[in-house]
Amino acid sequence: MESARYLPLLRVLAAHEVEFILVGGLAAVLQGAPIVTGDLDIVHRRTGENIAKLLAALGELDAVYRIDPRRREPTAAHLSGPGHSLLSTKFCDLDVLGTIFADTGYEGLIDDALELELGEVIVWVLGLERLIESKEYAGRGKDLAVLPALRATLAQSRKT
Amino acid sequence: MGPLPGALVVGYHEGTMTARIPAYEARLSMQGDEPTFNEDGVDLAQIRRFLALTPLERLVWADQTAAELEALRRIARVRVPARGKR
Repeated sequence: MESARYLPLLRVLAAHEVEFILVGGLAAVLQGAPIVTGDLDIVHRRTGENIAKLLAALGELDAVYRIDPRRREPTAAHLSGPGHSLLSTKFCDLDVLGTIFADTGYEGLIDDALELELGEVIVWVLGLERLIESKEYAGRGKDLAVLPALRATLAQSRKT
Repeated sequence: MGPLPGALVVGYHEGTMTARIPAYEARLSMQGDEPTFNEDGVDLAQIRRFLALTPLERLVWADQTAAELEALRRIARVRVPARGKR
């Protein structure tokens, strides 16, 4: 079967040439972690040109703030800051993150990202080591809960 | 097993999907005094959404999600490793 949620969403971002790094649970899954996640998290490059591309893609995805009863659409001002925009789209939930741990943005993460091919879609994905660091840094219960699976996946991947 | 606490027992298998949708919306809007995330960072809105599903719908969601993740995992190929590994 082909992914009916994640891949179509990534395809729209790619079609609009949005520069982003996939982080979070799906990034871990794509590197072999046996976990389940229901959303997609990205850290985008916060330049004016890229935010314009991202906004166009989000428009095509019918993205709105999912915890806002007014269902507002994201704006350039929202996406220019370091904060997190928690959106729902016509495919799946999408968290658009200006920065992750220690206020680290796209430029601070790209060196630790790998380029993955998902059929015709090419995405940059944050490497497992850095993902683990980000979970350790966040230190919340939900982050700590997945650490054993991520560490074991990293250890196994180094053996193969 | 009966429905989980808080689960809505009116499901599409009874042909009464519309009865469930208002309840679903009601749960989603239960945000007045409730936080969206708890102290562990867990998305409570997502939990409310899942509680509004029938057990069968939750199972379908879990099946579909697992199958989609597996499908993506199978087609993923590394083109360029992280710079630290080049």
